[in-house]
Amino acid sequence: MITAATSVEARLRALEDEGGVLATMYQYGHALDYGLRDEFLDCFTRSGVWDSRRCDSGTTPVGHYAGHAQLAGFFDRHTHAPSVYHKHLLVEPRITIDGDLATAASYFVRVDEHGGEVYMPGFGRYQDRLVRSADGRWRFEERRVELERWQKREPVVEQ
Amino acid sequence: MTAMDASIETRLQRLEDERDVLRPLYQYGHTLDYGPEDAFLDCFTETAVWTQAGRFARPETTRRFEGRGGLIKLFRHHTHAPEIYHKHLLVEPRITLHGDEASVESYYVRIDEHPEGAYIRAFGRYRDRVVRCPDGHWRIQQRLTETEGRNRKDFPPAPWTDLPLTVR
Repeated sequence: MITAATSVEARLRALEDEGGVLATMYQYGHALDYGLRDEFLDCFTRSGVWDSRRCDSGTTPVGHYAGHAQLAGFFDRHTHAPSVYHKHLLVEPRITIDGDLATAASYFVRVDEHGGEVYMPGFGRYQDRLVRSADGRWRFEERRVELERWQKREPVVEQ
Repeated sequence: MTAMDASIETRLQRLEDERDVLRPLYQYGHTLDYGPEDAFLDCFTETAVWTQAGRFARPETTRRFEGRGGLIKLFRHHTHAPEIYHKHLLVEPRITLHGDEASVESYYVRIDEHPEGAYIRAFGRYRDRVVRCPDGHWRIQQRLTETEGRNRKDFPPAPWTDLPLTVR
């Protein structure tokens, strides 16, 4: 039998879980854009996977990194502020919680600065699977990056 | 009140605070883009400070608007709809609560109209200190606007160019 108290507890927990999932999704962009390596890796479980494929040319694989060692390599090869400024904008997250698992679909838009012009290299969709870790934090078990349009100019790196 | 009740009350308060901290952050963009002025000013405490710094900041170009008087001038020297349409988009706010204060880091993107078509005028980061006021509403005490990318297009003209760097 569900009492009023447990019902409130469950409803509260659902809101907290959605907030926790969203916090990880936001942490990803901030960490990648500003070069916060530990924060970036902390978004993923130890065996977490980042997988990307282009959808504007079939389903061409772009990259697949599994586990923190490979994710660290991906992070180190990615640009960050202050050498290159860009933004991974995440909007319209649709989060579904199922116990200690969550799925989330969201849009992303990448905004860059290039030689005095601001432009959008691309946009697409994130398809995420997250799990509640032992410390209570939600982390990506898999982030699938669907690049629907991608046309990046060579970065102008500030010395 | 039982321990369980207290815990639920505390957790609920936290969720409400996170939601309410967002109110002035969203209100800022809407009221700067559309007005009215009094709703824009209501985003801030009476002693709030708005600073523009970041990648392009140099001491001789850092802008500062201080207090109610400064923020009135900020608003009145900025463009608004329907004369000029633009959007201050705020996304990915990361809120950290400390009792009656909160620090927030969020992204912003500014989209403007242009005779050749809409374009992204600038992007960057807001770093805010938001406080709970005596009436229970959260308001911005300090907004640091870090502009990281800026388009060279000059339409509409940049605001505030005829003002001193520090305005009170």
